[in-house]
Amino acid sequence: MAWTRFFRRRRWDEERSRELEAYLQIETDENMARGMAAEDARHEAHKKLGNATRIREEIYGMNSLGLVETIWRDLAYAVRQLRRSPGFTSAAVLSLALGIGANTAIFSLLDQVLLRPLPVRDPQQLVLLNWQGTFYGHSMGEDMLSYPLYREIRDHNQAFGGVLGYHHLMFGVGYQGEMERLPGELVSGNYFDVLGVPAFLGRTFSVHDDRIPGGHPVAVLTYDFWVERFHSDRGILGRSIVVNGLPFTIVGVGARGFSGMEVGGPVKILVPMMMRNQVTAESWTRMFGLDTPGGAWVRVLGRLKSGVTPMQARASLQPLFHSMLEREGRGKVPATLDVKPAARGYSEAREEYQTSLRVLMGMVGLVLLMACANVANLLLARAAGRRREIAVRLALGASRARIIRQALVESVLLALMGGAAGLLGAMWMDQVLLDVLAAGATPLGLQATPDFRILGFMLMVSTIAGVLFGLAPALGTIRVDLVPALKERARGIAGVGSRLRRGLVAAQVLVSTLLLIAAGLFVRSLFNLRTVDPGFRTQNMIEFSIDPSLSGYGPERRQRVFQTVLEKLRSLPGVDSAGLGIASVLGDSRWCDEVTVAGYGAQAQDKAQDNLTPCHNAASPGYLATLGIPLLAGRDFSAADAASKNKVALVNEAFARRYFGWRSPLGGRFGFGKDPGTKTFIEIVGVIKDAKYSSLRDASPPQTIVDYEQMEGAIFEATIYVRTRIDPRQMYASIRRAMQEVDRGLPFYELRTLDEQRDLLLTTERVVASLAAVFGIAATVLAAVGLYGLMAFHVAQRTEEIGIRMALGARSINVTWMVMREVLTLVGVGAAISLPVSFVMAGFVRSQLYEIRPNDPLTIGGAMLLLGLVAALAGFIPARRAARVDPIRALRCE
Amino acid sequence: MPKRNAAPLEGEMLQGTLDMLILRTLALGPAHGHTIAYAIERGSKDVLEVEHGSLYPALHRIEDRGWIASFWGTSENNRKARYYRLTPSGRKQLAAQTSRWDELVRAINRVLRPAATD
Repeated sequence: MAWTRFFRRRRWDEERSRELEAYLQIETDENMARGMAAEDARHEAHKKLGNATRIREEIYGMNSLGLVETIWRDLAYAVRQLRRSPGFTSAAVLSLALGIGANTAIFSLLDQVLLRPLPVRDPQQLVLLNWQGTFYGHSMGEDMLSYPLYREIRDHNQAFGGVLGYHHLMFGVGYQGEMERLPGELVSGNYFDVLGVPAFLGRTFSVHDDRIPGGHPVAVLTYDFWVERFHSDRGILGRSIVVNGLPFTIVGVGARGFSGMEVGGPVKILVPMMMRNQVTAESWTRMFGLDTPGGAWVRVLGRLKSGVTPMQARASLQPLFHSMLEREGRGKVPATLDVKPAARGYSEAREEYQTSLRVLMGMVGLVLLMACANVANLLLARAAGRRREIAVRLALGASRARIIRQALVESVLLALMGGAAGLLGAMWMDQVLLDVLAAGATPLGLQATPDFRILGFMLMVSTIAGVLFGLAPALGTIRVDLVPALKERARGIAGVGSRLRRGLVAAQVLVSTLLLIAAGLFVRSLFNLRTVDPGFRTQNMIEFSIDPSLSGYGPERRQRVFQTVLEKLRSLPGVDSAGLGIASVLGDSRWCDEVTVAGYGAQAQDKAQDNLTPCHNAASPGYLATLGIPLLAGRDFSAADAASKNKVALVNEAFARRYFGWRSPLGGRFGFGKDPGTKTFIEIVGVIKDAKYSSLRDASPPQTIVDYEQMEGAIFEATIYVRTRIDPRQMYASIRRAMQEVDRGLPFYELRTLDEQRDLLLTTERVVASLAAVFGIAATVLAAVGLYGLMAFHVAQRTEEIGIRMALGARSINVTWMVMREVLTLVGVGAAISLPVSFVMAGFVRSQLYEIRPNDPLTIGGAMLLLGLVAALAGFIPARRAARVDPIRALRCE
Repeated sequence: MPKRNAAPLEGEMLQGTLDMLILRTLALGPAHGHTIAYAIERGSKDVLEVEHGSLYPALHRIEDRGWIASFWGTSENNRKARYYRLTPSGRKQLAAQTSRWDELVRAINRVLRPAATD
């Protein structure tokens, strides 16, 4: 059967009627020739031909495509039906759009942060090696090992096909005189081979690029950086690029899609690890050098040989690990080398946002359930209202299969419309979410494009829900006895459907109460965090960071730069004071390390209640005064300290409490590290008040501050704090100018007020709180729509009954109350069940809260009150309508 | 809605027989529906009584298969009419169907009248 004929079948039909007409005319002519009267001749011709309409229908049927044809007709019918009830349609589509959109948005982000594997060969074979148990030496961050340990594992293990090492850091990258501060990686020579990442252009590194310390000034760019910065210029190979003041030759561009090991921190440039000493400050190479035992700075990943399980690899590593420790003179250490799956790379964002994203995922899942419940509810109501229509169609000869197909088509159409609207919503939400998450901070490298697999899944879920709830009533109605259904005067509702619908609405009330409670808890936590006293003044304060080491400056020059910058800033009009510290407050740069305190035994330390690792800072004189941290005892650093050989430090109350108890810490001495024989060469000269340094949530850990001028150039990066007398934003321009005057080639970054930094620190909390609020409100709206739909339908069903009641003397207040009683029962049941459930759920969000208990009565009460009010309003509209029923008209209309 | 391949002729006719008769009629030259109907009726000496209307779906089906082609022409008594003519593939089809029909008739005859073997 020709497809084209299917689309031209209307023309064909005309053609056929002309043909049949021709027959009739010829036959009539002949009949008349035989002597019949004109009328009889025509009549006989018709008789001879048979039923012309039937013939045409038969031919028309031959031209149609059976199933396609009927589905098309069903679709057209469904569209007509949906257009006829815009209220129902928009409620259902909006519900689905909300559910599908929110879920797609959240899961698309979640997938990128939590689930997607690295774009490397067989990512599931990769494992991360990390130190478990007592740690000796110094560490630059989580999950890092020393270079000698890495080298030992790389060269002597049995379990891995290859072991790579990398270090993620910020580089000062200069190209044709322009300087940018960009994330990069120092990588081992076998890095690309072990990962199985080829070069897009030129070559990647091989082990030959990582043999001689300082001997391989070569760099590989990532594909995205090459496209963005160099506009995909193939002539880039062999050109020179400056990394931290040192020229490197570009030898290649990595494979498309690959941007380093850290999710959420896409790198731009990679250089061999052997160049470590050339691109980082000297002090670090002393503590974290290529040959320094106990200085952990390398993230180590192994590719398991096929057939080797992570457990086997772990077991085989231990002898190697302990013999290495023994050779380094550390003896028996209660520590093991652990392996954990690393198919998805390493992500600080993952660690950081994991719990929040999971909580959001749970909440958004509930929103989808609510949306499905709403659609189900609407479809059930519709089916109940269409019992008579279906009975009429059955009576007119429609097949039952056809009726069911019709219901299916309508449900699927609704789901598709909801999905399309949801897709738009998801795109918008992802963009908003990313904007909030990345506000001011380094870009996370996440895409706002919704994942189509996820969208497809959501669509499937909602279609199944739609089909299920669209089909159930359809199946119910077609079993109806036609005669009573047609005779039915009140378009009564089936008892089962009604009970199901009430249940659904009560469940919606339950879920939205839960979401409102959660939203309330998160919002109040955020409020508490915003108002907590950090221990210093955040108002009228500007901060920014400088890193002279990125320009390749040596220790003396760096020290000089810091000094000049501070002096310059202090001389600016509008500036009260200025100071610097190497660890930023309310930021993520931290320096935490164990200490050895003279006169404080290790046994005592192990018995200590809290085992927070002490954190440290190096600061300039005037730092305390600038931040407004009160000095409780002793003195601040002075100009005399800079020249003095006697190293001095300030400690906070927590430090004093832990290591000195009731004694005065003034005059006490300590040193960094916990190795036996650590020299306690630093004298405590002052005690400062506890302040919340890096986290607003946690209690202050023991903290020390050493004098940065006594660090002998060991500082290469610092955060500058400027207290202003005027609105800090007005100072930005003059600060920029001042920095230009001090040193044109010095990159300074993250210029912002401390209030902004504080907001930035609370980004996760803010995102969670605002999304939770949005979800809570969305859920409440959905519940209100559900409730309204149910009651409006109920009232319409009972118009006649209400009319009779009113005719018999019921007053409008009685009728209103009759409807409202039902509303309040439903709300009451839902809310009552939500109470115990919320206690159970509270456990999951406890870690996300701050200074508020999960069963906070005010929050729970508020949530219930809000929901009660909205629900009462949603129920009141149909109740009013019921009360306004005109008994005469109600009775006459049937 | 009528079924697709409803019996095209009154009485019990074998599937495809009408098609064969139409093709046979058109083998003599182009004709319109009215002529074909009467040709079959007269050719069979009025044994095969065709309801003339049922011819048209059959014509449509055969045309669809490409065995016949149609064009508008003028009838003997000056009326516009849709004429059909046999296509080369229709001619082949007629030959094939006729020989199959002959075979069938012979086979049935052998069963019905075993004595009169040929």
